[in-house]
Amino acid sequence: MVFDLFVTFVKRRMLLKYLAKITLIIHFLLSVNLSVAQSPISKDAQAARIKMKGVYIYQFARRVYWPEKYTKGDFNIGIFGNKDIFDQLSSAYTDKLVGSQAIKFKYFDNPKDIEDCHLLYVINENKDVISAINQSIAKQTILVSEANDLVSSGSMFNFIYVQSRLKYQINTTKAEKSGFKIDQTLTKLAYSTI
Amino acid sequence: MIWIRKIWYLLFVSVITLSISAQDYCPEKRLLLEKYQSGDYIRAKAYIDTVIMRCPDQKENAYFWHISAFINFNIFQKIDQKSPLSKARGEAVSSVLKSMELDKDKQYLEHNKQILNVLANGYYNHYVSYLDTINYKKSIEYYQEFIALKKLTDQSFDIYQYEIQHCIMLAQIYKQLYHNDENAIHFIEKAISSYECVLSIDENNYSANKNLGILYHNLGVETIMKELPVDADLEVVIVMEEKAVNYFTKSLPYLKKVYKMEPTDEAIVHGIAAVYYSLNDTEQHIKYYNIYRDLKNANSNND
Repeated sequence: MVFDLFVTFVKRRMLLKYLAKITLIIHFLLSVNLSVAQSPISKDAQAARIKMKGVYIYQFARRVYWPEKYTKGDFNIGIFGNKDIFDQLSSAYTDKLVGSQAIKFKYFDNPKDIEDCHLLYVINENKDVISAINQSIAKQTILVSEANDLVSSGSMFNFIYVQSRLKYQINTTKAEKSGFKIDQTLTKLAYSTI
Repeated sequence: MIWIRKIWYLLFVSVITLSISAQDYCPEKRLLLEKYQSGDYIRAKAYIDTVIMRCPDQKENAYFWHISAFINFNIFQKIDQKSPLSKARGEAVSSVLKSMELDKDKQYLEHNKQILNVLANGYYNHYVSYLDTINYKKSIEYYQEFIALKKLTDQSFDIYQYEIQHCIMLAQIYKQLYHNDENAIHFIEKAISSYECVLSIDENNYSANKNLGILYHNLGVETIMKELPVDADLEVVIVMEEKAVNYFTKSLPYLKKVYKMEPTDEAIVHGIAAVYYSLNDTEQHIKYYNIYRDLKNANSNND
């Protein structure tokens, strides 16, 4: 009697274990479908693209040398036109150091609100908007754009995509006129310089 | 269950019948058979080694190994309760194989095959029940045993269907192991190999193409998100981006292939749009994103 009960118990446990395995297998198969269903151009792909730009911007900040008087206090990076980029970059780079300066981020969605910063990243392909911002920013601000070409943007750094790869262009002439010094590695690895 | 009992009864009777006609003089073998007939499998098993020692010619006797197989088989089934740890199962298999090798007249072939078939199915059950991220290595061993035995017992056995299922399940396990420990990149390589194994059998396999496409895209994204340090030097950024673009590029043909097979699969269209986004091909990205949106609208209207 006791043995029978034990056998029944064991069989039930085995059945439950087997059912659990089947559930696991179904879970595996469903998880594949779910990962696609949620996949999208989704946040991860967008985040990867933003991260690439962030890494470059951090290198711009580190490899461009500002005139002496701008090397004290915080190192301010302004983001114009995309809150998601601001959120991601500020969470990754706030308080990282550029020389002895701690990085701080500011977000702007209106050109007239833009405050002085060391580096301003404008996420807007509209030439008129970039031009308006360019005219209003302070002398110590390096403008980073993502326009079709560097010359028409009037910025010092410009992101472009070449054969699926993110590249940057530098207007070294303009930078030097404004008193900035640019590290050789930065110019050497640029897609183009003028 | 009743028909299984009947089959075993018939097998049992036939074994005993054969034993009377086939025995050479070997008293230990007679004792072995007596123990076996009385259901004392443990003692019967103990006599197997004794018979080999005292009657060495039995080593070349197909019937002796046939009986050995039955003894071990019964121990596995009835005493060890089909435990995957049972050593008797492996001994049953090797005894059957010896019997088959020596059985030139194929006297015991049918029964030997029946034992092998039941043992093969047992291995398959254990394969399924061990298929998880902890026991998968053991599971693979059981699967290999299952395949080897099935090949021996059934000439028309469709190994490819099993191989496809097996490789897809393994790929899922490896992906899970990678997600559990994202430094263990070798698991992702194994997942890729598993899907490639499926495609080597069936190049149009929907699941493998779809999963491989998604896997490569996700690897590209992960290269940037997880491998690339936020303060990486420019040279490192360029290398990492190249690696990611390479993954994105690999992803596309697999997803395009399944898109041709199933153009209304929203997830696939969305996936292709994602890959084009990652490749910064805005024109193609928008094209597929619009197709996806139309499909989604059409499907929600149908609902």
